[in-house]
Amino acid sequence: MTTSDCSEIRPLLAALVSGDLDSGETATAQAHLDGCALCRDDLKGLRRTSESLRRALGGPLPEAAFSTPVRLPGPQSRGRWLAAAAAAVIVSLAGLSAANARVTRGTDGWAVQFSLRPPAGEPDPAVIERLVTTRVDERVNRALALQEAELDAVVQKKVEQERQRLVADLARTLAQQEKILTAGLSQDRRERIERERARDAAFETLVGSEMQRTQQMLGAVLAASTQPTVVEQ
Amino acid sequence: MSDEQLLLLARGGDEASFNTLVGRWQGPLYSLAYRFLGHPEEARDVCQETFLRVYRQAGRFRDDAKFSTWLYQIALNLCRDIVRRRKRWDRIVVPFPKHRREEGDADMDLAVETGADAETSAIRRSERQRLRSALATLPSEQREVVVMKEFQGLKFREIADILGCPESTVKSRMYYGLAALRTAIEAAPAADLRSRP
Repeated sequence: MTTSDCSEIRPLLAALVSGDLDSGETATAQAHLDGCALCRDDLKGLRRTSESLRRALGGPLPEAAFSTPVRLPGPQSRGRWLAAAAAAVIVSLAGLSAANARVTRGTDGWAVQFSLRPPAGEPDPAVIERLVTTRVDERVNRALALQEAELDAVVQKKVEQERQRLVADLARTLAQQEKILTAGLSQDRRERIERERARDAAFETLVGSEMQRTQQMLGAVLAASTQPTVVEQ
Repeated sequence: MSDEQLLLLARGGDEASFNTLVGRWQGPLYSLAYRFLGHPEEARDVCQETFLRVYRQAGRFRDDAKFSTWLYQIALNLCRDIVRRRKRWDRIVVPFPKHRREEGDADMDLAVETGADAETSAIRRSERQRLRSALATLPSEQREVVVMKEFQGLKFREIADILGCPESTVKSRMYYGLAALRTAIEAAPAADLRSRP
């Protein structure tokens, strides 16, 4: 069997594990498995994994989903809506009265006071949930804003550091170039002066020797001119 | 009475029909959400929100469609939303989701192992932990298929309808999901798997 056969048969192995295969597919898979030890091992491993999974996680769940039936808003008939609205108003008024009524006993006897501000008591779980949700949202937004600000600051700092580094590098490079150029120019000038000095010295030497030779020649000429002339008889 | 007939009645405001549907499907739905998300509170939220959407969108249900397919689609979308939200949380506050998952694990361990022999319980807990962690590391599309096939007992054809993809794709995902689980279980000790995100 070739590797391509195995790759084609793999989806069927998964189906074989769960027994969700038609007769044609089962025959194809079986024909391949008869001649492929690799896929037989693969199938065994998949079966073991599936069994472990079901054994370990297929047990009872932590708790039931609901304990009370779902209450629907009701059908969209006018009469029902009106009845519901009236009931809601009555319940609200009764609730408000009961919640805001305060019974006290003074020196003159019992007194009942009504207030628009509800007395402190057990907080409404729905309100708490809403508050918690709002606070979580606020915290998330604050955290995001903070992270954004921190990121901005980090980016700005990095950009500034990079800019300063580039400026410093440039300045250093320029200074080095200038130094090299100056050094080069000085060297050239020194060499030229040396060369000129050497040439001057050579010229002076030449002039000196020529003058000396000229003087010697002149001396010889003068000496020759001062000697008496012998006239032969 | 079929699910589809009950939904038609519920659409007309029949509370009893709707409650029958809820009673019939709350278990499978909770099982799917819990095994996909690994957390009871989130699974319960998914169930409640799913039934709420079913009621609100009952008018959009096609007469030729299958109720369970539609129900699972809604629940899966909600589960995916939660996973996406978790990832967002992971980026902001890293330890939070891990802590929440551990709470869920503890809930399940307590519920399942009360009264069981301590040593056997410890081994089972370790195996369960290892498998749950391995399952949580699977890509969502593989995890969905594995959960629906292994725990919901759905046919590949039904899963394909729910996911809106070919049956062969579902089988491939199942194979690669099981193969990845096998590798994770055989290769990594429990401690390593637990520490994975």
